[in-house]
Amino acid sequence: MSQHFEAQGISVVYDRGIKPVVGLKKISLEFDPSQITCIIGPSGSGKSTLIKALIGIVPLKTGLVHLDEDLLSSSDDSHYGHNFSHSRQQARSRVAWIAQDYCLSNNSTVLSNVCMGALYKKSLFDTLFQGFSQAIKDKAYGYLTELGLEEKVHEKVRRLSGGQKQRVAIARSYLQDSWWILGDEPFAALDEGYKKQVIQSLRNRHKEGRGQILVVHDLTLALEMSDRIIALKEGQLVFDGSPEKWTEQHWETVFGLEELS
Amino acid sequence: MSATSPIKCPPSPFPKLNFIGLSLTLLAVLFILYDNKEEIVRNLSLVQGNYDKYLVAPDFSVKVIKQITSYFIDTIEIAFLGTLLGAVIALPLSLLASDMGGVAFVTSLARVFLAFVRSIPLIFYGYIITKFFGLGVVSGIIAVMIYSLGILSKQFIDEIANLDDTVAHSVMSTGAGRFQVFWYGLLPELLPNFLAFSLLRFEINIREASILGVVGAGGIGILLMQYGSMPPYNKLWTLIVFFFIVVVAIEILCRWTIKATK
Repeated sequence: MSQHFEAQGISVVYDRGIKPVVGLKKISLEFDPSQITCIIGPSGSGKSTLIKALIGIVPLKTGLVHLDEDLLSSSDDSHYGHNFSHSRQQARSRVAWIAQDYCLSNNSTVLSNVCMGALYKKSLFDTLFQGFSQAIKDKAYGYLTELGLEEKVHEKVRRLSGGQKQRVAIARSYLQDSWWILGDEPFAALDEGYKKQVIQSLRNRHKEGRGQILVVHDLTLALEMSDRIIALKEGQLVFDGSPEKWTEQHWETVFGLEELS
Repeated sequence: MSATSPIKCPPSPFPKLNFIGLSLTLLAVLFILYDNKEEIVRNLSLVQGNYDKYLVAPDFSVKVIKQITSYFIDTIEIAFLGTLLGAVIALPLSLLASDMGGVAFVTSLARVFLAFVRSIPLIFYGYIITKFFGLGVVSGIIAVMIYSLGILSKQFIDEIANLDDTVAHSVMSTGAGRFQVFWYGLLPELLPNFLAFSLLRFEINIREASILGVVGAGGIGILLMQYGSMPPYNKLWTLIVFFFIVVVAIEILCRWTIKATK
């Protein structure tokens, strides 16, 4: 099982709003599943866009995203939401996403939201006439317990707090049994206690062999937990290397203000 | 302390329409008043001599109440079944006519069909349908069904267009199929709002369907014609009081239902 995950020259342009905004400019990256990669950069630098481009839910202007032999996203897609070919679905199922704003179904229960991670294992008939199997529910309950949510299993997601929703999204990404976990600020809404717990659980998944690409706001945390740092600024790659190579100079380039007045 | 800030906020790039819009509205009102000045003076002065005919006490005799109740039940039946059937048909049609449909030809076809259905007022439907199905409640139900299906599908389509598609995206990102994305990512987000719209439509339809009796499609409208043609209008006032009670009661019921589903 090679887990070759690669983005080739991806650009993203958002053309809604007053004028088009360039999200990403021709970024090429290769990821190694044995590493935890952290993406950093100032607000609006394209971190979330990069994650969304990698999981294929943002239309690409140029470039490709490959996972193993399967194409995950391509600029040739006429409408990014309408490609449901077998290989595309397979590629998507192998990359799990923890969304920044959780992206959970507010009107469904916590359990149902987590089980959605295993939808790709269900047939059309099962989707219509049967709920999720007991095995999947047990597994979901296990992850929810690991993340301290065992008492909220049958609660509607709309009744949860931000931090709880974030942990539900994390549990779903675990249940997906993916090769990769892509987290968009997975600790943003968590207090210190749960942050530690979630970092530990992410490390457990890493030991199980799941590659990780995480957007982390907290630079200290990013330098501490990652094996590789990727820094973005204005949609461009400005740093790519191990945390040991990160210097004050780089901080200045990435986060420094042009001119203080 | 300086009075002005050294940093200037840039002006909005969008054009200002407030002044032009207000002036045009005012002009239109003046024009309408001027255009109908004679009629306004004539009709308003007509009312003056007839207070005794209009302002009379409602008639709450058992016979009248029994009659009104039985006709009101007809109207509620028409509104309920008509709205229910309309909503059930509107759901798949609005999905076809929304951007999610996928097939451009089908989408346009469904949109044109719905625009056509929507363009015709309820009373016309009532009138036409009684020609096919005869006088009575059944015609009323069919008329309300077609009418609400047009309006509800418009609201459903807007609801689908305004839907936050991030939930669908997140379901799609797990590798789910097209139908699963719809079933788990969109339907749970849409159904509560669809239900709320349908209940609101039911509430409005009780009022709208009451006019159907005028063209013979059943319900309270028949009594309106009867009571309205013979002054003094005691019974007409009873009807109005009934309307108020029934509509408020149904409104409260609908609010409860919507709350219970949240």
